[in-house]
Amino acid sequence: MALLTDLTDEQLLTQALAGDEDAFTVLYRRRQGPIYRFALHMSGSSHIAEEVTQEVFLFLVQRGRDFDPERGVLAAYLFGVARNYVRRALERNYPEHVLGSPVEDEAAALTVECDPTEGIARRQTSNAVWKAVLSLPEHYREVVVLCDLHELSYADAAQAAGCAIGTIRSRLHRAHDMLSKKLQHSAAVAPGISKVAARCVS
Amino acid sequence: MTCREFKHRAASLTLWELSQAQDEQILDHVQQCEGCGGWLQNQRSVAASLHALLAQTAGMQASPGVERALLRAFRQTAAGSAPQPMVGRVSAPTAFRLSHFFEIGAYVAVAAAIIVSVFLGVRLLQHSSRTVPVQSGVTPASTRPLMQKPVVTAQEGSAKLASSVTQERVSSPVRSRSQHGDSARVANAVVQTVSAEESQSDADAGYVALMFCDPLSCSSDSQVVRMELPANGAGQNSQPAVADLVVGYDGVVRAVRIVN
Repeated sequence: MALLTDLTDEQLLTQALAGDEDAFTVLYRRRQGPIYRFALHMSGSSHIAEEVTQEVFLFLVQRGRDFDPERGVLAAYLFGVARNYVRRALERNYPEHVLGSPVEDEAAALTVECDPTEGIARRQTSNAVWKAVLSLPEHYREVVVLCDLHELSYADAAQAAGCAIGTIRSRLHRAHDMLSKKLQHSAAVAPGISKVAARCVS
Repeated sequence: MTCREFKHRAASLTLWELSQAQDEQILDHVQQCEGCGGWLQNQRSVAASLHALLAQTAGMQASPGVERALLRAFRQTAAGSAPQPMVGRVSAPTAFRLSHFFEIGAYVAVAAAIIVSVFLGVRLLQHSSRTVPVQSGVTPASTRPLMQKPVVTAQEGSAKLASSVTQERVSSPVRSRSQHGDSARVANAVVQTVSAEESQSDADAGYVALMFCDPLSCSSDSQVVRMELPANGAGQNSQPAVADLVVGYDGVVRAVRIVN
Protein backbone atom coordinates (compact mmCIF):
# COMPACT_ATOMS: atom_id res chain seq x y z
CA MET A 1 0.00 0.00 0.00
CA ALA A 2 2.89 2.36 0.75
CA LEU A 3 4.14 2.00 -2.81
CA LEU A 4 0.73 2.50 -4.26
CA THR A 5 0.38 5.93 -2.68
CA ASP A 6 3.33 7.12 -4.74
CA LEU A 7 1.68 6.24 -8.00
CA THR A 8 -0.19 8.74 -10.12
CA ASP A 9 -3.92 8.56 -10.61
CA GLU A 10 -3.54 7.14 -14.07
CA GLN A 11 -1.21 4.38 -12.90
CA LEU A 12 -3.57 3.51 -10.08
CA LEU A 13 -6.44 3.32 -12.52
CA THR A 14 -4.50 0.99 -14.78
CA GLN A 15 -3.76 -1.34 -11.89
CA ALA A 16 -7.31 -1.14 -10.61
CA LEU A 17 -8.70 -2.07 -14.01
CA ALA A 18 -6.35 -5.04 -13.97
CA GLY A 19 -8.13 -6.21 -10.81
CA ASP A 20 -5.97 -4.68 -8.09
CA GLU A 21 -8.38 -3.81 -5.31
CA ASP A 22 -5.76 -1.97 -3.27
CA ALA A 23 -5.02 0.35 -6.17
CA PHE A 24 -8.70 1.10 -6.50
CA THR A 25 -8.95 1.79 -2.76
CA VAL A 26 -6.03 4.22 -2.88
CA LEU A 27 -7.45 5.97 -5.90
CA TYR A 28 -10.87 6.22 -4.30
CA ARG A 29 -9.53 7.61 -1.02
CA ARG A 30 -7.45 10.13 -2.90
CA ARG A 31 -10.22 11.44 -5.12
CA GLN A 32 -13.49 10.88 -3.31
CA GLY A 33 -13.20 14.01 -1.18
CA PRO A 34 -12.96 16.50 -4.06
CA ILE A 35 -15.67 14.70 -6.00
CA TYR A 36 -17.93 14.67 -2.96
CA ARG A 37 -17.34 18.37 -2.28
CA PHE A 38 -17.83 19.26 -5.94
CA ALA A 39 -21.23 17.57 -5.91
CA LEU A 40 -22.01 19.16 -2.55
CA HIS A 41 -21.12 22.64 -3.76
CA MET A 42 -23.10 22.15 -6.94
CA SER A 43 -26.23 20.72 -5.36
CA GLY A 44 -26.23 21.89 -1.76
CA SER A 45 -27.36 18.41 -0.76
CA SER A 46 -25.16 15.89 1.07
CA HIS A 47 -27.49 13.11 -0.07
CA ILE A 48 -26.94 13.99 -3.72
CA ALA A 49 -23.21 14.42 -3.11
CA GLU A 50 -22.92 10.93 -1.68
CA GLU A 51 -24.99 9.41 -4.45
CA VAL A 52 -22.92 11.17 -7.11
CA THR A 53 -19.65 10.05 -5.52
CA GLN A 54 -20.82 6.48 -5.62
CA GLU A 55 -21.98 6.72 -9.19
CA VAL A 56 -18.75 8.32 -10.37
CA PHE A 57 -16.51 5.60 -9.01
CA LEU A 58 -18.88 2.88 -10.10
CA PHE A 59 -18.66 4.38 -13.58
CA LEU A 60 -14.87 4.28 -13.27
CA VAL A 61 -14.96 0.59 -12.33
CA GLN A 62 -17.22 -0.30 -15.22
CA ARG A 63 -16.00 2.06 -17.94
CA GLY A 64 -12.61 3.21 -16.77
CA ARG A 65 -11.07 1.93 -20.00
CA ASP A 66 -12.75 4.78 -21.84
CA PHE A 67 -10.43 7.25 -20.13
CA ASP A 68 -7.79 8.65 -22.48
CA PRO A 69 -4.74 10.10 -20.63
CA GLU A 70 -3.81 12.13 -23.70
CA ARG A 71 -6.94 14.24 -23.39
CA GLY A 72 -6.31 15.33 -19.80
CA VAL A 73 -5.71 14.25 -16.26
CA LEU A 74 -7.87 11.73 -14.45
CA ALA A 75 -9.01 14.28 -11.84
CA ALA A 76 -10.55 16.50 -14.50
CA TYR A 77 -12.11 13.42 -16.14
CA LEU A 78 -13.71 12.48 -12.83
CA PHE A 79 -15.03 16.02 -12.37
CA GLY A 80 -16.56 15.79 -15.81
CA VAL A 81 -18.30 12.53 -14.97
CA ALA A 82 -19.44 13.97 -11.65
CA ARG A 83 -20.79 17.04 -13.42
CA ASN A 84 -23.04 14.90 -15.57
CA TYR A 85 -24.30 12.89 -12.61
CA VAL A 86 -24.97 16.08 -10.64
CA ARG A 87 -27.03 17.43 -13.50
CA ARG A 88 -29.08 14.25 -13.63
CA ALA A 89 -29.53 14.25 -9.88
CA LEU A 90 -30.64 17.87 -9.87
CA GLU A 91 -33.15 17.21 -12.63
CA ARG A 92 -34.46 14.26 -10.64
CA ASN A 93 -34.47 15.81 -7.17
CA TYR A 94 -34.89 19.50 -7.87
CA PRO A 95 -37.78 20.15 -5.45
CA GLU A 96 -35.98 18.22 -2.75
CA HIS A 97 -32.69 20.02 -2.72
CA VAL A 98 -34.17 23.50 -3.31
CA LEU A 99 -30.72 24.99 -3.28
CA GLY A 100 -30.44 24.58 0.43
CA SER A 101 -27.26 24.97 2.38
CA PRO A 102 -26.23 22.17 4.73
CA VAL A 103 -23.28 24.09 6.07
CA GLU A 104 -24.77 24.54 9.51
CA ASP A 105 -25.51 20.86 9.99
CA GLU A 106 -22.42 19.21 8.63
CA ALA A 107 -19.56 21.63 8.52
CA ALA A 108 -20.19 22.89 12.01
CA ALA A 109 -19.52 19.46 13.39
CA LEU A 110 -16.19 19.24 11.57
CA THR A 111 -14.69 22.59 12.45
CA VAL A 112 -13.11 23.44 15.77
CA GLU A 113 -13.86 26.98 16.77
CA CYS A 114 -11.17 29.03 18.41
CA ASP A 115 -13.63 31.79 19.15
CA PRO A 116 -17.40 31.10 19.32
CA THR A 117 -18.35 34.56 18.12
CA GLU A 118 -15.98 34.33 15.24
CA GLY A 119 -17.28 30.86 14.44
CA ILE A 120 -20.86 32.05 14.28
CA ALA A 121 -19.93 34.96 12.04
CA ARG A 122 -17.99 32.69 9.72
CA ARG A 123 -20.81 30.19 9.54
CA GLN A 124 -23.26 32.91 8.65
CA THR A 125 -20.89 34.14 6.00
CA SER A 126 -20.50 30.65 4.59
CA ASN A 127 -24.23 30.17 4.44
CA ALA A 128 -24.75 33.44 2.64
CA VAL A 129 -21.96 32.73 0.16
CA TRP A 130 -23.17 29.23 -0.47
CA LYS A 131 -26.67 30.42 -1.13
CA ALA A 132 -25.30 33.00 -3.52
CA VAL A 133 -23.28 30.33 -5.33
CA LEU A 134 -26.24 27.98 -5.50
CA SER A 135 -28.43 30.72 -6.90
CA LEU A 136 -26.15 31.15 -9.90
CA PRO A 137 -27.20 29.58 -13.19
CA GLU A 138 -25.71 26.13 -13.61
CA HIS A 139 -23.11 27.04 -16.26
CA TYR A 140 -21.74 29.83 -14.09
CA ARG A 141 -21.98 27.84 -10.88
CA GLU A 142 -19.90 24.99 -12.21
CA VAL A 143 -17.02 27.21 -13.30
CA VAL A 144 -17.01 28.94 -9.92
CA VAL A 145 -16.97 25.59 -8.15
CA LEU A 146 -14.32 24.10 -10.42
CA CYS A 147 -11.97 27.07 -10.68
CA ASP A 148 -12.48 28.94 -7.42
CA LEU A 149 -13.47 26.28 -4.92
CA HIS A 150 -11.47 23.38 -6.37
CA GLU A 151 -8.71 25.45 -7.88
CA LEU A 152 -8.63 23.65 -11.18
CA SER A 153 -6.70 25.30 -13.96
CA TYR A 154 -8.65 26.74 -16.83
CA ALA A 155 -7.52 23.86 -19.03
CA ASP A 156 -8.67 21.21 -16.57
CA ALA A 157 -11.94 23.05 -15.96
CA ALA A 158 -12.47 23.20 -19.71
CA GLN A 159 -11.91 19.45 -19.94
CA ALA A 160 -14.34 18.80 -17.10
CA ALA A 161 -16.99 21.14 -18.45
CA GLY A 162 -16.46 20.02 -22.03
CA CYS A 163 -15.94 23.47 -23.48
CA ALA A 164 -13.15 25.79 -24.60
CA ILE A 165 -10.81 27.63 -22.26
CA GLY A 166 -12.08 30.98 -23.49
CA THR A 167 -15.59 29.94 -22.56
CA ILE A 168 -14.42 29.12 -19.06
CA ARG A 169 -12.77 32.51 -18.73
CA SER A 170 -15.77 34.47 -19.92
CA ARG A 171 -18.15 32.46 -17.80
CA LEU A 172 -15.96 32.90 -14.76
CA HIS A 173 -15.70 36.63 -15.31
CA ARG A 174 -19.47 36.92 -15.62
CA ALA A 175 -20.01 34.61 -12.63
CA HIS A 176 -17.78 36.77 -10.43
CA ASP A 177 -19.75 39.86 -11.35
CA MET A 178 -23.02 38.14 -10.58
CA LEU A 179 -21.69 36.77 -7.36
CA SER A 180 -20.39 40.16 -6.30
CA LYS A 181 -23.80 41.74 -6.89
CA LYS A 182 -25.55 38.99 -4.98
CA LEU A 183 -23.18 39.29 -2.07
CA GLN A 184 -23.54 43.04 -1.96
CA HIS A 185 -27.26 42.55 -1.42
CA SER A 186 -26.60 40.10 1.34
CA ALA A 187 -25.95 41.27 4.85
CA ALA A 188 -23.26 38.69 5.14
CA VAL A 189 -20.98 40.69 2.95
CA ALA A 190 -19.67 43.12 5.49
CA PRO A 191 -16.30 44.82 5.55
CA GLY A 192 -15.17 42.43 8.24
CA ILE A 193 -15.84 39.29 6.25
CA SER A 194 -12.59 39.26 4.38
CA LYS A 195 -10.70 39.76 7.60
CA VAL A 196 -12.50 36.88 9.34
CA ALA A 197 -12.04 34.59 6.35
CA ALA A 198 -8.40 35.43 5.94
CA ARG A 199 -7.65 34.91 9.59
CA CYS A 200 -9.43 31.58 9.89
CA VAL A 201 -8.11 30.14 6.68
CA SER A 202 -4.56 31.00 7.55
CA MET B 1 -1.68 50.94 -18.17
CA THR B 2 -5.09 51.53 -19.64
CA CYS B 3 -8.32 50.11 -18.30
CA ARG B 4 -8.46 47.71 -21.25
CA GLU B 5 -4.98 46.39 -20.50
CA PHE B 6 -5.93 46.08 -16.83
CA LYS B 7 -9.00 43.99 -17.62
CA HIS B 8 -7.01 41.86 -20.07
CA ARG B 9 -4.34 41.14 -17.49
CA ALA B 10 -6.89 40.54 -14.74
CA ALA B 11 -8.72 38.00 -16.88
CA SER B 12 -5.58 35.90 -17.16
CA LEU B 13 -5.32 35.58 -13.39
CA THR B 14 -7.36 33.34 -11.17
CA LEU B 15 -9.49 34.83 -8.44
CA TRP B 16 -6.91 33.96 -5.81
CA GLU B 17 -4.06 35.41 -7.81
CA LEU B 18 -6.07 38.52 -8.44
CA SER B 19 -7.05 38.97 -4.81
CA GLN B 20 -3.41 38.81 -3.80
CA ALA B 21 -2.09 40.72 -6.77
CA GLN B 22 1.29 42.28 -6.19
CA ASP B 23 1.80 43.40 -9.73
CA GLU B 24 2.97 47.00 -9.55
CA GLN B 25 1.31 47.96 -12.80
CA ILE B 26 -2.01 46.65 -11.60
CA LEU B 27 -1.69 48.37 -8.25
CA ASP B 28 -0.68 51.65 -9.87
CA HIS B 29 -3.65 51.54 -12.22
CA VAL B 30 -6.03 50.72 -9.38
CA GLN B 31 -4.84 53.76 -7.47
CA GLN B 32 -5.36 55.98 -10.50
CA CYS B 33 -8.64 54.50 -11.79
CA GLU B 34 -11.54 54.53 -9.41
CA GLY B 35 -13.68 52.17 -11.49
CA CYS B 36 -11.01 49.50 -11.82
CA GLY B 37 -10.21 49.96 -8.12
CA GLY B 38 -13.82 49.26 -7.18
CA TRP B 39 -13.93 46.26 -9.48
CA LEU B 40 -10.77 44.80 -7.94
CA GLN B 41 -12.17 45.40 -4.47
CA ASN B 42 -15.30 43.48 -5.43
CA GLN B 43 -13.18 40.61 -6.73
CA ARG B 44 -11.27 40.53 -3.46
CA SER B 45 -14.53 40.42 -1.49
CA VAL B 46 -15.77 37.53 -3.61
CA ALA B 47 -12.48 35.72 -3.17
CA ALA B 48 -12.60 36.17 0.58
CA SER B 49 -16.18 34.94 0.77
CA LEU B 50 -15.45 31.89 -1.35
CA HIS B 51 -12.40 31.21 0.77
CA ALA B 52 -14.57 31.16 3.86
CA LEU B 53 -16.89 28.67 2.19
CA LEU B 54 -13.96 26.58 1.04
CA ALA B 55 -12.57 26.46 4.57
CA GLN B 56 -15.97 25.52 5.96
CA THR B 57 -16.38 22.50 3.66
CA ALA B 58 -12.76 21.42 3.37
CA GLY B 59 -13.10 18.37 5.62
CA MET B 60 -16.25 16.94 4.09
CA GLN B 61 -16.15 13.57 2.38
CA ALA B 62 -18.34 10.63 1.54
CA SER B 63 -19.38 8.21 4.27
CA PRO B 64 -17.57 4.86 4.71
CA GLY B 65 -20.66 3.04 3.46
CA VAL B 66 -19.98 4.34 -0.04
CA GLU B 67 -16.50 2.86 -0.02
CA ARG B 68 -17.79 -0.51 1.17
CA ALA B 69 -20.45 -0.58 -1.51
CA LEU B 70 -17.94 0.36 -4.19
CA LEU B 71 -15.47 -2.29 -3.08
CA ARG B 72 -18.25 -4.88 -3.25
CA ALA B 73 -19.05 -3.75 -6.77
CA PHE B 74 -15.36 -3.78 -7.67
CA ARG B 75 -14.95 -7.39 -6.49
CA GLN B 76 -17.96 -8.52 -8.44
CA THR B 77 -16.77 -6.74 -11.55
CA ALA B 78 -13.32 -8.24 -11.15
CA ALA B 79 -14.91 -11.67 -10.73
CA GLY B 80 -16.67 -11.16 -14.07
CA SER B 81 -20.22 -10.81 -12.82
CA ALA B 82 -22.44 -7.80 -12.99
CA PRO B 83 -22.28 -5.57 -9.93
CA GLN B 84 -25.13 -5.67 -7.46
CA PRO B 85 -27.48 -2.74 -7.22
CA MET B 86 -26.07 0.00 -5.06
CA VAL B 87 -27.47 1.30 -1.82
CA GLY B 88 -29.57 3.96 -3.49
CA ARG B 89 -31.12 1.53 -5.92
CA VAL B 90 -32.50 -0.96 -3.44
CA SER B 91 -36.02 0.24 -4.02
CA ALA B 92 -36.03 -0.61 -7.71
CA PRO B 93 -36.64 -4.40 -7.40
CA THR B 94 -39.37 -3.77 -4.82
CA ALA B 95 -41.08 -1.38 -7.18
CA PHE B 96 -40.78 -3.94 -9.95
CA ARG B 97 -42.38 -6.62 -7.77
CA LEU B 98 -45.20 -4.25 -6.83
CA SER B 99 -45.80 -3.37 -10.46
CA HIS B 100 -45.89 -7.11 -11.28
CA PHE B 101 -48.59 -7.64 -8.64
CA PHE B 102 -50.53 -4.69 -10.00
CA GLU B 103 -50.29 -6.19 -13.47
CA ILE B 104 -51.74 -9.51 -12.31
CA GLY B 105 -54.45 -7.68 -10.40
CA ALA B 106 -55.35 -5.72 -13.51
CA TYR B 107 -55.73 -8.94 -15.53
CA VAL B 108 -57.99 -10.45 -12.85
CA ALA B 109 -60.09 -7.29 -12.74
CA VAL B 110 -60.51 -7.27 -16.52
CA ALA B 111 -61.52 -10.96 -16.53
CA ALA B 112 -64.06 -10.35 -13.75
CA ALA B 113 -65.48 -7.38 -15.63
CA ILE B 114 -65.90 -9.50 -18.78
CA ILE B 115 -67.69 -12.27 -16.84
CA VAL B 116 -70.04 -9.83 -15.13
CA SER B 117 -70.82 -8.03 -18.37
CA VAL B 118 -71.61 -11.33 -20.12
CA PHE B 119 -73.88 -12.37 -17.25
CA LEU B 120 -75.68 -9.03 -17.26
CA GLY B 121 -76.03 -9.18 -21.03
CA VAL B 122 -77.70 -12.59 -20.87
CA ARG B 123 -80.03 -11.38 -18.17
CA LEU B 124 -80.89 -8.32 -20.18
CA LEU B 125 -81.67 -10.40 -23.25
CA GLN B 126 -83.92 -12.65 -21.22
CA HIS B 127 -85.67 -9.69 -19.72
CA SER B 128 -86.21 -7.97 -23.06
CA SER B 129 -87.64 -11.15 -24.58
CA ARG B 130 -90.21 -11.20 -21.80
CA THR B 131 -91.19 -7.58 -22.12
CA VAL B 132 -91.68 -7.47 -25.90
CA PRO B 133 -95.36 -8.67 -25.89
CA VAL B 134 -96.34 -6.12 -23.31
CA GLN B 135 -94.90 -3.30 -25.33
CA SER B 136 -96.77 -4.42 -28.43
CA GLY B 137 -100.10 -3.90 -26.76
CA VAL B 138 -101.30 -7.41 -27.51
CA THR B 139 -102.54 -9.46 -24.64
CA PRO B 140 -99.92 -11.62 -23.04
CA ALA B 141 -101.89 -14.75 -23.58
CA SER B 142 -101.49 -14.55 -27.32
CA THR B 143 -97.73 -14.58 -27.23
CA ARG B 144 -97.36 -18.00 -25.68
CA PRO B 145 -98.51 -20.54 -28.21
CA LEU B 146 -97.94 -23.49 -25.95
CA MET B 147 -99.59 -21.96 -22.96
CA GLN B 148 -102.77 -23.60 -22.00
CA LYS B 149 -105.45 -21.02 -21.67
CA PRO B 150 -108.25 -21.62 -19.27
CA VAL B 151 -111.63 -20.43 -20.34
CA VAL B 152 -114.17 -19.57 -17.73
CA THR B 153 -117.82 -19.84 -18.44
CA ALA B 154 -120.63 -18.93 -16.19
CA GLN B 155 -122.25 -22.16 -15.39
CA GLU B 156 -125.90 -22.57 -14.93
CA GLY B 157 -125.85 -26.29 -14.81
CA SER B 158 -123.39 -28.81 -13.58
CA ALA B 159 -123.24 -30.67 -16.89
CA LYS B 160 -120.73 -28.33 -18.37
CA LEU B 161 -118.60 -28.67 -15.35
CA ALA B 162 -118.12 -32.29 -16.05
CA SER B 163 -116.82 -31.63 -19.54
CA SER B 164 -114.13 -29.26 -18.52
CA VAL B 165 -110.62 -30.61 -18.68
CA THR B 166 -109.33 -28.72 -15.78
CA GLN B 167 -111.37 -26.90 -13.29
CA GLU B 168 -110.46 -24.66 -10.53
CA ARG B 169 -111.80 -21.72 -8.76
CA VAL B 170 -110.90 -18.32 -10.01
CA SER B 171 -108.68 -16.49 -7.65
CA SER B 172 -110.35 -14.21 -5.21
CA PRO B 173 -109.34 -10.80 -6.69
CA VAL B 174 -111.03 -11.62 -9.94
CA ARG B 175 -114.06 -12.75 -8.19
CA SER B 176 -114.19 -9.73 -5.99
CA ARG B 177 -113.79 -7.46 -8.96
CA SER B 178 -116.62 -9.10 -10.85
CA GLN B 179 -118.77 -9.08 -7.80
CA HIS B 180 -118.19 -5.41 -7.46
CA GLY B 181 -120.26 -4.79 -10.62
CA ASP B 182 -123.12 -7.16 -10.19
CA SER B 183 -122.37 -10.05 -7.93
CA ALA B 184 -125.81 -11.48 -8.14
CA ARG B 185 -125.71 -12.06 -11.86
CA VAL B 186 -122.50 -14.02 -11.86
CA ALA B 187 -123.58 -17.37 -10.65
CA ASN B 188 -120.34 -19.16 -10.95
CA ALA B 189 -116.98 -18.78 -12.62
CA VAL B 190 -114.96 -21.78 -13.58
CA VAL B 191 -111.61 -21.92 -15.21
CA GLN B 192 -111.44 -24.23 -18.14
CA THR B 193 -108.30 -25.13 -19.95
CA VAL B 194 -108.40 -25.39 -23.73
CA SER B 195 -105.76 -26.12 -26.29
CA ALA B 196 -103.36 -23.41 -27.38
CA GLU B 197 -104.12 -23.78 -31.07
CA GLU B 198 -107.77 -23.21 -30.39
CA SER B 199 -107.24 -20.03 -28.53
CA GLN B 200 -104.52 -18.73 -30.80
CA SER B 201 -106.87 -17.88 -33.58
CA ASP B 202 -109.21 -15.72 -31.60
CA ALA B 203 -106.92 -14.45 -28.93
CA ASP B 204 -105.47 -11.52 -30.81
CA ALA B 205 -108.65 -10.00 -32.11
CA GLY B 206 -110.87 -7.63 -30.22
CA TYR B 207 -109.05 -7.30 -26.97
CA VAL B 208 -108.96 -3.88 -25.41
CA ALA B 209 -106.23 -3.15 -22.95
CA LEU B 210 -107.59 -1.94 -19.67
CA MET B 211 -104.46 -0.61 -18.06
CA PHE B 212 -100.85 0.25 -18.51
CA CYS B 213 -99.16 -2.45 -16.59
CA ASP B 214 -95.56 -2.51 -15.61
CA PRO B 215 -93.30 -5.01 -17.39
CA LEU B 216 -92.80 -7.20 -14.36
CA SER B 217 -96.47 -7.95 -13.81
CA CYS B 218 -97.24 -8.20 -17.52
CA SER B 219 -94.45 -10.64 -18.11
CA SER B 220 -95.96 -13.08 -15.65
CA ASP B 221 -98.33 -15.77 -16.80
CA SER B 222 -101.94 -14.91 -17.33
CA GLN B 223 -105.12 -16.65 -18.15
CA VAL B 224 -108.21 -15.90 -20.15
CA VAL B 225 -111.43 -15.98 -18.24
CA ARG B 226 -114.74 -16.06 -20.08
CA MET B 227 -117.49 -14.37 -18.17
CA GLU B 228 -121.09 -14.81 -19.02
CA LEU B 229 -123.58 -12.42 -17.57
CA PRO B 230 -127.31 -13.18 -17.53
CA ALA B 231 -129.63 -11.15 -19.68
CA ASN B 232 -130.56 -7.92 -18.13
CA GLY B 233 -134.01 -7.27 -19.43
CA ALA B 234 -137.14 -9.38 -19.57
CA GLY B 235 -137.43 -9.17 -23.34
CA GLN B 236 -136.96 -12.16 -25.63
CA ASN B 237 -134.07 -10.63 -27.56
CA SER B 238 -132.06 -10.10 -24.58
CA GLN B 239 -129.06 -12.44 -24.55
CA PRO B 240 -126.48 -13.06 -21.90
CA ALA B 241 -123.36 -11.01 -22.35
CA VAL B 242 -120.20 -13.03 -22.84
CA ALA B 243 -116.78 -11.44 -22.43
CA ASP B 244 -113.22 -12.74 -22.32
CA LEU B 245 -111.01 -11.25 -19.64
CA VAL B 246 -107.24 -11.59 -19.62
CA VAL B 247 -106.40 -11.93 -15.96
CA GLY B 248 -102.94 -12.09 -14.56
CA TYR B 249 -102.02 -14.32 -11.68
CA ASP B 250 -101.88 -11.23 -9.56
CA GLY B 251 -105.60 -10.95 -10.11
CA VAL B 252 -105.55 -7.80 -12.18
CA VAL B 253 -107.51 -7.73 -15.39
CA ARG B 254 -105.32 -6.66 -18.23
CA ALA B 255 -107.63 -6.78 -21.27
CA VAL B 256 -111.19 -7.46 -22.14
CA ARG B 257 -113.08 -8.59 -25.24
CA ILE B 258 -116.79 -8.64 -25.72
CA VAL B 259 -117.68 -11.85 -27.45
CA ASN B 260 -121.30 -11.10 -28.39
